Amino acid sequence: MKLPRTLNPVFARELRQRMRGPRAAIILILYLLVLVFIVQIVYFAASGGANRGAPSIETLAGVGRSVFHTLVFFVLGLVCFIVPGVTASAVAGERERQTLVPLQITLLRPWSILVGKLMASLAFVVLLIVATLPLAAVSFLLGGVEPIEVIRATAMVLVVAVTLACVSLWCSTFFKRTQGATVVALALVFLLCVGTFIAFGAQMILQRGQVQGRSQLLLVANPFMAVADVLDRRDEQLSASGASPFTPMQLLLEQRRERQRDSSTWSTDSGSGSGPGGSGPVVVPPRPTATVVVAPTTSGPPQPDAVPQPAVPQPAVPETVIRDVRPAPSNPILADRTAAAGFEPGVPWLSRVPFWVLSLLAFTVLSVGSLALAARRLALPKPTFS
Amino acid sequence: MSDLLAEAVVDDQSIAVRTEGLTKTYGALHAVAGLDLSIPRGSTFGLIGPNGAGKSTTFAILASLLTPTAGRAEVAGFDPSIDPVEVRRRVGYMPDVMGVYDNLRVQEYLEFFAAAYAVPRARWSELIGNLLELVDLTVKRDSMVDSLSRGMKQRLSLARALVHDPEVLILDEPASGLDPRARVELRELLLELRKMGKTIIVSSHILAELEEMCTHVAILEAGRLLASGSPRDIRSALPTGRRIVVKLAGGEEQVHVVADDEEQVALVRRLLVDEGLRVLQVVEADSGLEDLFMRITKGVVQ
Ligand SMILES: Nc1ncnc2c1ncn2[C@@H]1O[C@H](COP(=O)(O)OP(=O)(O)O)[C@@H](O)[C@H]1O
Ligand SMILES: [Mg+2]
Repeated sequence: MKLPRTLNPVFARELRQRMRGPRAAIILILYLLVLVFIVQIVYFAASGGANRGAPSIETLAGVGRSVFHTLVFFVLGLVCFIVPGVTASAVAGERERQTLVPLQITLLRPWSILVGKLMASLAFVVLLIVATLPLAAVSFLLGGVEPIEVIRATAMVLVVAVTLACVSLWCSTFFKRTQGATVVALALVFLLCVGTFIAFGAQMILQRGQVQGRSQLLLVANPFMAVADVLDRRDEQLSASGASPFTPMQLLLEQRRERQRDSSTWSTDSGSGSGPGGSGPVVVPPRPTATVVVAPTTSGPPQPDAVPQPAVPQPAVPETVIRDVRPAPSNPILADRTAAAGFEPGVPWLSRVPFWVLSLLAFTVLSVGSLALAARRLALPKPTFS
Repeated sequence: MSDLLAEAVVDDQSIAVRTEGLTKTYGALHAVAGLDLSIPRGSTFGLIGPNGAGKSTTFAILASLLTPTAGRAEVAGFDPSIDPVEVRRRVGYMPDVMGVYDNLRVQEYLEFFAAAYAVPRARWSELIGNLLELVDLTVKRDSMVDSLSRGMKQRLSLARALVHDPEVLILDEPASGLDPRARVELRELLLELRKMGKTIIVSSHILAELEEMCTHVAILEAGRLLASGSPRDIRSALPTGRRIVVKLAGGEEQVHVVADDEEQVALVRRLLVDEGLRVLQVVEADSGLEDLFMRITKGVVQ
C-alpha cells in the first residue's frame, strides 16, 4: 500500500494493520445490510396507514423524516458502542503486546501518537457513517428532509464520535489492560448517554417539575440531545406520521426554547412550569433573589416582592400571542451581569445560547481534556527540575 | 571490594555513558543504589547481575524512560531526564521484553520506525536493505513480523533499534531465551556493531555470554556495583587465579592446577605432554566470570 509522505506514522501503520485482509470489507457489507433492513422496517411501519390509496405529499414527507431520524439514531447508537470498542485498545493494546516502550522512545511526540491513534480508530467509524449517507438519500426522495439537515446531523455525529474516541483514548492510556479500558470507556459513554438523563430526571423530581437552567446543563454533553437539537423539529402537519426516536429529546429542547422566550422578560421562574401542553401554573414560592433583578425600562411586568412570579396567565393565552406582546431584551449586558452575580438561578444568558452550541463546547472541553490527560500519561519521563 | 576495581582511566571526550550516584527507589526498595559508571566510547560494556539486581531499571533511566530518584546520568553528552529527545536521537534501546505487531510485514515494521525517528523517506529503502542485511533477515522482508522465530524477532528488534543510526546501543538481556545457535549469531552481530564504532551496553545474567564479547564488565547486585573493569582486569585482580582440571587418558585421574593466565595453562599442558602423559582434556573448573561472580556475590545473594 502506498501512503502519502506526510501521513502520521502511527496512523499509516495502523491503517495497514487494520485494513489488511477482507475483515473490514465484510463488516462494512454486513453493516449496510442491517441498515437496509432497518430502513425497510421503518418505511413500512411509518407508511402502513397510507398503503391504501395514494399517500399525500405530507405523509410521504413524514415517512422520509422517520426513516432519516431512525437512521441517525441507529448510527449514533452504533457510534456509542463501536468507538469505545475500537479505541480503548489503542494504547493499552500496545502495552499488552509490549510494543509501547519502543514507540515511546521514538522521536514521536505523545500528542502525535495520540492523533495517529485517534485517526486510526475513527477512520473505520467515519467510513461507516459516510456509507450511511446514500441510504439517507431515500428520505430525500420521500421529502421531509433538507440537505442541510443531513449535513448538520452528520457533522454532529462525527463530533460525537471524535469526543467519545478522545475519552476512550484517555481510558486506554490510564488502564494497563484493554479489557479494563474498554469497560470503563463504555461506562463513561453510558454515563453521558443515559446517566445524564437519569440525573436530569432526578433533578426534575427534586425540583417538583421545575426545569432549571442549570439542570439543563446536565444534558448538554448528552450525544442524543446534541443530535436532536440539530435535527429539524416535527411540524404540526407531520405529527401523525413523522414519528422520530428523537421526539422525547426534542420535546425537552422545546421546553428550553420556551424558557428562552420567557427569560426575555427577566423572570426565569415564570415560564418554566408551562410546557407546550400548558399543564397549568405550578405554584412556586417567589424567589427572594428575583426582587433584586432590576427590570429594564420596558413594558415587562414589574416584579414587586409580594406578587408571585407566574403572574402572567400564560397557559390561557396562545404562546405566539405572548411572544408578540413581549419586547425583545433591551439590555443583554445587564442581563449577563445579573447572571454572573448569581442573582438568577436559571442563568438566563446560558439559556439564550443555542443548545447545540453548548453541546459543541462541552464536547470540545471533553475531547481536549481527555487528550491532554492522555498525553501526560504517554510522556516519559516526567521532567525533573531539581 | 573496591580494591578489586581496576577502572580504566579515560578522558572526558571518550566517555559515552556516565552515571553518578544514580539511584532509583520504589518505596523502601532500592532498585538502583548509588550507581557510578563510566563507559568509554566504542566499548562493549556488560552489566552482569542476577534477576532483580537493577539492570533493567538502570537501562530504562539511560534510555530516558524513567526518572532517577537521585543522582544523574549522561548519555552521549545529554542528561536523559533533562533532554530526553536528544538522548533518544542518539540511543538505540532494546527492552528485555520484545513485542511485535500483528498484521505487519518486516519491511513495514522498519518503515514505521524509520518514520517515527524522522528518517527522510528517500533513504528508507536503502536503510532498510542495509539493516536487513546486517541482521540477516533479507529473505524475510515480506514476512509477517509475528510469524518470525524468537531469534529472528530479536534480530529484527535490534534492526529497529538501529534505524536512526544511534551511537549508543542499550540491549537489555538480548540473549535470554535464544537457542545456542541464535546466541552465536547475536554475538557475531554485536562484534560487527562494535567494529562500526558503536558503544554497546548489554546486560545478562548468563555470564559466559558476556565474557567473550565485552571489553568492559560491571557486576551489579541489589542495585550496587560490586566490581567493574575489563574481564581480564577483574580476573587478574582475584587472588586465587584460575583452577584448571587436566583429564588424562586411561584412567579416572584428574590433575587440578591453579594458573594465573593462559601462558601458565599452556605451560602446564606442555609439561604434562613432555612427561609422556596422554592429556585428554584441559578445562577450567569454572568458567571465568561465572566463578568470579559466584565468589563476589556470595553472601550478598539472599
Ligand atoms: N515499577 C516498579 N515498581 C516496583 N518495583 C520495581 C519496579 N520496577 C522494578 N522494580 C524492582 O526493582 C528491582 C530491580 O528490577 P530490575 O531493574 O528489573 O532488575 P533486573 O533487570 O536486574 O532483573 C527489582 O527488585 C524489582 O522488583
Ligand atoms: Mg531485567
